[in-house]
Amino acid sequence: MNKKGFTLMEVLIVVAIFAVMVTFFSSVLIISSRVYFESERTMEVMQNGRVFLDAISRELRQARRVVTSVPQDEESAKEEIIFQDGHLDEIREKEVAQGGSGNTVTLSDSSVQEDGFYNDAFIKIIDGPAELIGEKRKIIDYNGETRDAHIGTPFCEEEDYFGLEYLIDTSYYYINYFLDENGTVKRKMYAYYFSDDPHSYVPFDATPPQGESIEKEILESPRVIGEHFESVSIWEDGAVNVVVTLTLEEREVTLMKKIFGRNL
Amino acid sequence: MSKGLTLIETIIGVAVISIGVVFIVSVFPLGARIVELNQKSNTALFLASAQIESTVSQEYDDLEKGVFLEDFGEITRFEEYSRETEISCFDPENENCVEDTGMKKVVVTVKPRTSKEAETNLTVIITER
Repeated sequence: MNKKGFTLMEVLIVVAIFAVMVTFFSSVLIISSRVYFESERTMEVMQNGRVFLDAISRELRQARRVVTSVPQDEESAKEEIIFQDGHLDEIREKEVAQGGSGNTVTLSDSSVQEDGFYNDAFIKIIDGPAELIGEKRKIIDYNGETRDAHIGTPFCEEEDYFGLEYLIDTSYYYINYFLDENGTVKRKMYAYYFSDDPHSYVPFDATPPQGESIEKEILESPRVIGEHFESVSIWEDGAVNVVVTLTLEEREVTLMKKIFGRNL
Repeated sequence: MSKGLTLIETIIGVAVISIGVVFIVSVFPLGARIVELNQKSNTALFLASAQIESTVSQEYDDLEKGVFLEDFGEITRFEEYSRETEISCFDPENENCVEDTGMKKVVVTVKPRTSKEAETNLTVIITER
């Protein structure tokens, strides 16, 4: 039996080789994870920028009118834009609901029998129990045959919607995209009305009759569209330019889009 | 009895291992490069579609045939990109279009200063309205 063990030299060499290998593989591991997180950040900011640019360009192409005065040059570019929604048919109906409860409102007998006709329009209760008056919901889906309009959250828990008077008025919806102080781009929707008649929407620049004032009504409260925005610049030179810069932990991406509103 | 390895065997062994290591290591920068390339071609695509959009927004008669080049440094905020817009007449039946058929072809090419692979091309055909 030969059991002399290792010499000191052998042990040292083995330890040295081992140390070199460990250093090598750990650095590979560190580099690869850095690359991984780096690319994840890039993808994250690109995605956020793209979502915003896609959303705003879709709506701006169909917009009927731009409300904010959009600067003509890049230096005075703005961080927000307000424009009139143009993607819905013009509907103006004051009717009484036939019934429904929870997430479903059965619209009146005279409503249009076409699937999806009222989609994306807001339904507002203008007469009925006091606590429901003024409540509004977005119609998510409409069934032309049964005249059932599907809303995201119920108007109330138990009661039947029979006999409620409602308003669907798509004539003047305004959309506002803006950058808030936390680097988040948000979208909100609102409408204007004269103080004596809250059930008819009017253009933002309409002159109220003697003794009345023009009021603003929020249709949809601010909703987050994208995060990690460093800056948003909107200006116009025939088409509307939107340039965004996004940052996330030292990753910076700049994207630009030019949008030509078909009705502007 | 083992006599140990010959020099040849050792050299071959080291060579095989080093090829393997080089291959593994080269994969990592490649991943990072692809991400960067992707970002560049994305930006290029946005720049190209912006140019298409502004072309579409003009009157048909205002679109003059020719090549319009925005060189590196000329596009604000996108100094690392060049953009070439070529407007030519378009005839679906004749490759060498001579006279205006009521259609114009717009080709936009965006090139990043570095990485040739991220070059982006967009073509659109505009008709007289």
